[in-house]
Amino acid sequence: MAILTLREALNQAMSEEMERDPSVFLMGEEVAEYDGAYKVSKGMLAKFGPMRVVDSPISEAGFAGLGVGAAMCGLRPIIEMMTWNFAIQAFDQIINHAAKMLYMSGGQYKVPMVIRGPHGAAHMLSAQHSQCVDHMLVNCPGLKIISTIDPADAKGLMKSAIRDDNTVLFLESEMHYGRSGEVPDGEHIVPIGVGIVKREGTDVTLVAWNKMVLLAQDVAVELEKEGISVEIIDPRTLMPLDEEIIFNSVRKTNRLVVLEEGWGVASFGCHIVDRVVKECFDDLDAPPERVTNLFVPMPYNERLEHEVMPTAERTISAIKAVLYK
Amino acid sequence: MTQKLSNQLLVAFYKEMLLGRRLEERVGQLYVQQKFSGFCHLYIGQEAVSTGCLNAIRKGQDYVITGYRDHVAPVVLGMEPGVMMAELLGKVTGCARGKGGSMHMFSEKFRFMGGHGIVGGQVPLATGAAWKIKYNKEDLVALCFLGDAASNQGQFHEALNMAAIWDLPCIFIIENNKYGMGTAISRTCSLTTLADRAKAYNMRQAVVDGRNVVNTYTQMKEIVDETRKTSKPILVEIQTYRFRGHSVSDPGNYRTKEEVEKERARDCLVLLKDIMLNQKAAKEDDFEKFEEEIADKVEAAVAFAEDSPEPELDELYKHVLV
Amino acid sequence: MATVMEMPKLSDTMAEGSVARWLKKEGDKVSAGIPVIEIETDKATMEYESPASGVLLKILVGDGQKCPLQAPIAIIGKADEKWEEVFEKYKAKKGGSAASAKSEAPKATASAPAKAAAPQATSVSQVDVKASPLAKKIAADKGIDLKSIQGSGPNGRIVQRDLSQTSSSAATTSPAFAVASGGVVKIPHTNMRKTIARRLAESVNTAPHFFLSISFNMADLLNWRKSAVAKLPEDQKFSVNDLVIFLAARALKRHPAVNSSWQDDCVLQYGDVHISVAVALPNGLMTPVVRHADKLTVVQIAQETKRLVKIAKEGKLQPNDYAGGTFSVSNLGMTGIEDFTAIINPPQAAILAVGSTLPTPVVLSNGSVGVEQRMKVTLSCDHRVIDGAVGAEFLKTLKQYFEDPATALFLG
Repeated sequence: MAILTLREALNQAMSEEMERDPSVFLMGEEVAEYDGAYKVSKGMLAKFGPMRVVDSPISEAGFAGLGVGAAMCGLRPIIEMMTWNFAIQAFDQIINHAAKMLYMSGGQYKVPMVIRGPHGAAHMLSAQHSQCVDHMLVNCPGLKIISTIDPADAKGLMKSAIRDDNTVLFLESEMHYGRSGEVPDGEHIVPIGVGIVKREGTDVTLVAWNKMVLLAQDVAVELEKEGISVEIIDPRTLMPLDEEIIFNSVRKTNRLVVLEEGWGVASFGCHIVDRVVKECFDDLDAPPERVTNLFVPMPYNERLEHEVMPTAERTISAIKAVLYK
Repeated sequence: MTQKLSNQLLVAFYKEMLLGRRLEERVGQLYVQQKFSGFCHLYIGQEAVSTGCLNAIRKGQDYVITGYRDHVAPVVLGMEPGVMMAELLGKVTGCARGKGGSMHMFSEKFRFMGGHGIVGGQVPLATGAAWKIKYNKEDLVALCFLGDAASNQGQFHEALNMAAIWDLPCIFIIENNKYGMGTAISRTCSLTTLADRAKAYNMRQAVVDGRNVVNTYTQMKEIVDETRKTSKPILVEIQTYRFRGHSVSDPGNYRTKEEVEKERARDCLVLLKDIMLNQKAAKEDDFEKFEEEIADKVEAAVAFAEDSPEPELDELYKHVLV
Repeated sequence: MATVMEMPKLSDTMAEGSVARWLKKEGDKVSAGIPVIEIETDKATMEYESPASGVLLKILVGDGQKCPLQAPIAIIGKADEKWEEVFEKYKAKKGGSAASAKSEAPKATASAPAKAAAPQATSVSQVDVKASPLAKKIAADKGIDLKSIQGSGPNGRIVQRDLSQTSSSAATTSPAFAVASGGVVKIPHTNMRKTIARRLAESVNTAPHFFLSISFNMADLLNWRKSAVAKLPEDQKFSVNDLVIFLAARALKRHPAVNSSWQDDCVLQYGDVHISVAVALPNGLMTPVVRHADKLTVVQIAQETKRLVKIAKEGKLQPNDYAGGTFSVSNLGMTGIEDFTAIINPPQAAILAVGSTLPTPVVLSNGSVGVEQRMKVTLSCDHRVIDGAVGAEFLKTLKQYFEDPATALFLG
């Protein structure tokens, strides 16, 4: 067991898979000679050469589309988006092409591709660079979506994503590439579509993913002092979603709070609440609560930015609301 | 400059183009008879482009992709006409099991990477195919058909730039039929020669006659061979004309009758027939026989499509994910 | 071979077409592939080609007119062809296919049974209890009455914690069941048993019952029946019970307040008198309805009752036979029961329980004690609809009819 940062874990996963399978290549802006805008691909150019670690022009739609075409012809591209904000340029390729190719070709053309990059807000990057797009993408059938910052999960899930025959979108976090954790050595695989109980508890189920898991953990520690036992579920994969792990927890705690970064209107949290209300209706002792970004573009000012993002205070009051405290 | 092709090849080209023409006319009839619905973009008038280009490549090995005017290309590549027709009627025997339809013909077997419905969206995919050829050091090319108006899309330019900087064996073919839906290309592009767009990417370019199939084929053969040899991309503008509207529901009011009549005089079938008669590749009687032979093929295709079953409901959730 | 030109579908969203104008006149030559008409779709006006070569014999849909897709718009043929004949053939072909399509259509279902005159039982009014789904589940599992709990959640919502405090004391445990030495036979509920249980429990729980008893001197009525029945053929003879229905129906006509039912927002008083007659069956009880009993002769009532009892015993009553009663009669007189109270048959407001006619000692008007043939009846009333005095007035009329049957003829 090694202690690795998130960026090292991702680098290790990609490198191991590229060693294993010559059809895997990495393409994106600054991934090769610059070692990656966030150094995730550090050293990979030297190891794999310029045909397999490729600096692209700033053409998100173009190189995402190149990835789709190459994947249709049998390669397994990893496309790095410098951030998912820029990937909005490539939504036509992701939604109209990658997601639908298998279906509209009647099963003839698979698109085994990974599109990865940091997702959500970093720090004081303002409106265009601080967005979550997971709820937009999860709405489109034909894609798998992973969202995690845990180094071990990231390694295991990245390896699964590269081996998957579907297009897998991989959402990371800019602020947490340097965060360390224990990562199993060698062949560590985490299956897509399996969530994890991050912390066991009895009073309330708190569903959170990506960087929100960290906030959830802080809140759980804080509430433990008041005698409130919080169970944290990290689905890790948004699509397909491990619904059972959430249902089982809610059936135990009878209460649900979803903590998610991003706007709350028609968000993924809405979907989770919908599923829980349908499947666990008789187990609920309170209407589920959601904690999300405020419904405004991200402001630049630090104090305002903090207020827009989900906070510990708002999370605690949501948990108390479902506990009638 | 017209080169001489063998009689055998000319007859084959004529029959292939005639099949494309008669198939599309029949498709238009089926549409107005409400045998199928949705959009329906006919290829009538542009047959020499498909035949000229796709006979210049290695069918089934080189990669081909196009936009939504895609009924004829897969048939030229070798797909059974009935399989194309069944797809139009939404039948499970169709080339996309009835889930693609008019704009989404696909055949992995013939390396036909599809008909695509988002204007210009297929162009980066072609560079992806070319990237794979280069990545695996294969002796192949990728052919990307697009309309004149697709060259106004950003993705077209991103794709050309990537193909140029990485020397990808990709042949981008603008089928210039002079109109993007109802808007003359002269109103949406300040270039008079669309092939000049290549200059921005330091890319080779060519303008090809898309009416005289002998010219189309000869010029394309050279371009394909050159691309295969150099692995350098090229932008080809093929000048053509569609005799029908953009889609079946388009009255074509944006162009004059005189213009259409003038263009009909240069119908690729008429031109080829003249060449064949001059070259004695066929006699006048032979053309009636061609018609009969093709009519039988077309009716067989329609019968196959009409007799085929609809997809079962369990087809719905198949192929969403692998 | 002439061709009938049809309105083509020229756009994916076109629902009907309209002829902008014909480019050719009737009698003009037309050629296949050459435009003959301008058609206005929902998207544009488009030229459309002739489907055949020949002469435009007849224009069926003229300039400016609309028609559905695939409707005939013109006939094209040889100059000497009669367009009417072509069109007749075309219509026959089209009509033929339409007719065959029709015959495949499912047959129209038999006309629905006549609507019952009275509405079906109204639902029990729900007492609104605000509780979380979990609290409701716990309460149901433990047999806790949520109405007895004070909720501590928002707007008084009962939540889990409100039940955890009361559950231990409030939960009732069912007593252990002592099995008799002779063993226990488990008889599964029939649907009829379940219906009886549900409807009568609902009646007792929601309709506040009160009971009025009275006895009639039956001497004159019995004498009259005896002589009347003696003169009638077998299929026209009537029983005392038929007389009860006959007289009760006429009394109800005079006291519509008793011929009514309670609804959530009103009392419905019925203009028709339909009497439900309780019929004992081996496995339960049915109440077929003698409709318009106030308008039937006693012989007709006897015949209708016999018919209903017969089909009830055969288990062949249809909903129309037992729905829609406005008042019930239950007669246990033939079994020797002196008097009893019956449970109201919801949504009716009253039921008459009829006992045996027995020789009964009575104090006569001169103070001496004598014996009379007397029959006791008890009227069960829904107090929401019928007050004591109203019920009593009804019984008073009924007594008059029984003891002096002739009055029924001129008072009823």
